[in-house]
Amino acid sequence: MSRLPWLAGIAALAAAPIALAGFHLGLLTEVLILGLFAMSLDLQLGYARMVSFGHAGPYGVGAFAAALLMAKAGWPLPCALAGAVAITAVVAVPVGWLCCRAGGVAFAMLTLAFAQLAYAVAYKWQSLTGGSDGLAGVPRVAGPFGLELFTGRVGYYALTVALVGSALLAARAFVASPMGRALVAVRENEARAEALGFDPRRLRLAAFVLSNALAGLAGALYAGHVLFVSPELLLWTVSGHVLVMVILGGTGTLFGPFLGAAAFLMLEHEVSALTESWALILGFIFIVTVIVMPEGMWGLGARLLRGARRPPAVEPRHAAP
Amino acid sequence: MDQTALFVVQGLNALALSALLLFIALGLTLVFGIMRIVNFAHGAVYMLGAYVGATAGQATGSFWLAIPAAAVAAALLGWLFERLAFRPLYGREGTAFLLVTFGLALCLTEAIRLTWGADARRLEPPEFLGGVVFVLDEPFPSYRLFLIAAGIVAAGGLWLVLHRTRLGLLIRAVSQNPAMAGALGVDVRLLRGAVFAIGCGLAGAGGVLAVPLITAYVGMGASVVIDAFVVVMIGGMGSFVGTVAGSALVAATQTFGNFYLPEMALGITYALMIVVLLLRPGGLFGEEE
Amino acid sequence: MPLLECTGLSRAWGAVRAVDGVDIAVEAGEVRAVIGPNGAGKTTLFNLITGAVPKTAGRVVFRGEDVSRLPPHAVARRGIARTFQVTALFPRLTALENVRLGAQAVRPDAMRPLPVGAAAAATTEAARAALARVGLAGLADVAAGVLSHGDQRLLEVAMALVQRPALLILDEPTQGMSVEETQHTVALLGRVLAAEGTAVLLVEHDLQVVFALARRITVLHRGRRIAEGTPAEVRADAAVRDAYLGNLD
Repeated sequence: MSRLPWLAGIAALAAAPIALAGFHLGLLTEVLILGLFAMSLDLQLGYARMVSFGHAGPYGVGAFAAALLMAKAGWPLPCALAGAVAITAVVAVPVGWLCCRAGGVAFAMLTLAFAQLAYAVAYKWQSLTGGSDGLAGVPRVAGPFGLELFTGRVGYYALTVALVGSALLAARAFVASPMGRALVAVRENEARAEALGFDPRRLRLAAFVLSNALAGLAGALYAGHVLFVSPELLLWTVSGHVLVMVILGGTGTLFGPFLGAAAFLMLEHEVSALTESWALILGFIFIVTVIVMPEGMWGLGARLLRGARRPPAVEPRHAAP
Repeated sequence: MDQTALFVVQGLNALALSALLLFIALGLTLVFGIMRIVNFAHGAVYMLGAYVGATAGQATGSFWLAIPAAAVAAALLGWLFERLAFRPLYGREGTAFLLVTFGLALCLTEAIRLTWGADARRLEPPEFLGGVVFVLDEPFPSYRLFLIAAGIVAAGGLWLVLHRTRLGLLIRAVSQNPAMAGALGVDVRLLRGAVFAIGCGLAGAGGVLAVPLITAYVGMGASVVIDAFVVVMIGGMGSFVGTVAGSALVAATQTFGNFYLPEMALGITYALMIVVLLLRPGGLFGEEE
Repeated sequence: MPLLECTGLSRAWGAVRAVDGVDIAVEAGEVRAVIGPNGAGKTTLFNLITGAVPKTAGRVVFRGEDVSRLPPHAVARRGIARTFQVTALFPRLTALENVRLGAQAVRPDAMRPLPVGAAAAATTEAARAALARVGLAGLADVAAGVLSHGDQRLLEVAMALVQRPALLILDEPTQGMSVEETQHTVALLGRVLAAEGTAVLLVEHDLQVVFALARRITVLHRGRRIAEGTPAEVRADAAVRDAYLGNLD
């Protein structure tokens, strides 16, 4: 890929705090956070064909961990974010180990079940999580050494851009690494990949843990963004919404999910202003996308671009006047 | 209270719960066994049955009309969804089916919320089922005895349809080899639609039967579908006998667990599922991997 | 000590004994063929050796190590590469990527989660060389799924060869090929195997292929080993004639 789109993207993100009013900057922060959440699911769904219906699980765990580390333990913001990622990853190891024992359909059912378990725990454990009321007024704790740099609106936006950008680069590196390629091999033909010497279960577990850790980061950033967490974050509809973003944006592309998240938020804001039934429309769009546009917006765009470039190469006689 | 009587009453409670689970899990198993599709909207269809049944019951004043109304509405929805959403997908990889049924769950849950609002709906059983009977001198709600009977009738009926009728023969033929069954002149598409409709109809009936116990509320689908998943995973995906055994096992664990270890109630179902997954990843009656 | 030594390998599905107490040993550098009528248990035998199918009974010792209970990926990493009776590739990946994955799978950093830089280039070079050896260099960037059947079979051989295995298991390498393709493949295999010195375990229906490549032949019938020896000995064996060769006359 050429460098131009990258530079343009970085420039746009850097100019955003100057160009956008407070509300829109907050919206952009949210797009980035949800994009990261969706991208983390894409690592499982797009590269390993692991259909997780419980991605709200690590997202909510990360959010609660960050909120509690700041509100109850008084950790500074960056440390709380790091701690939340670590906690999510540690939880993901035994859960992933169990879920990856079963393939395909059973994997989807198990991930959903574990996310619902997390929801029920968050709902019942009132003393820690605030129960159905959740925890309001989560502070962005500024540490020593001038870390309050990140606690303002623009500062938090900058922190989000930096972390989401790093996560995207890390995911790209993972996908291009031997492990990422082996994961694609398992996706394409598991028996073949195993006969070559790849351990499918270990690969899936690695993808699961990485994906969950990044979802935990997204959840933690979300908690720091809206300064409120509740069990609603763990509800199965949240797992559904993040799937919508990935499918809409395009699986197996890493960038597509960001596009999907932006489209999702736009839809939510535009349609919910018009009608109460926006979630219904969303579900409908999701079903139609799966049926008629399985490659998603990013995939479709890439195909159209290729198509636009291809004719002169394939049919040179049209190029000559 | 007499320990024996207590135990018997809890056993009957477990049977009543397992009958409810059976309605949902049998539909899941049937659809998976024949179509290799897990219907993630099964809980939402169950919820639809509950609301339609409650509304029909209130409108007509008859519990006995509410059951067919719920079952038919759910079956009709299943039949329509198979035609509109599954047909373009046959031949695509399994992921697509997982995703569209999940999308249906999102849509249906939202549609129910918009139609019926957030308030729970009630439905009273007929008068002669509203009281209690005495089991070893202990009172026991007669409606739960009715549930047990209904569960037996549903499971037995489905078994008879599958093993003693021509339709059942065709269904089993399609489940074992769709291409061959198609080549022999079976209308595979029509059968798939019928199977999906039957599965949804069972869930709808289960939904309305649950209303007198737990009322109809948004969220009932998500909680029951997890239990149903645990049932089919424990029993073995697509196994009829396994589903019956799984329902009994899950219901017994939950009932006795709630009674003897109430503080651990939440984790018991999961613990059961994890143990089975560790010992027999394919389920108790599942095919060996 | 033989390279591969299997004793009493058995697999039963219910009452059906697909493989029943088979002993087979392969020396380093030896090309051994396994033949037998349809349903004799040849492919199941291979699946038992590679761990793809669990054993009912029996032991597999490879290079002095008991690998009986290892999963397929662990067996592969110990130096046994295989091709499948029904072509098994990564159809949506390019031919080069298919072979590259084969080369990657046996490297120590096969599942490293970080980019490997120079090592990746070396893997790609090895893959290109392996593709060239089976004559597919020109098709490196074509998706494996759109190659012709014969080329797909050769691609599978390249995926196995690039792993530089101590033992190569070929399950009907010329299955479904035309006469010309078969001759080409046999010539190619003969050349490559002579150059590599790899031990080979070969199932093949085409007896001309078997006699062209293998020095020793094991004959299976109904899950049991009924004969073993040089091609001449096997041809002369009365039990083999009854079970198998007789049917072909």
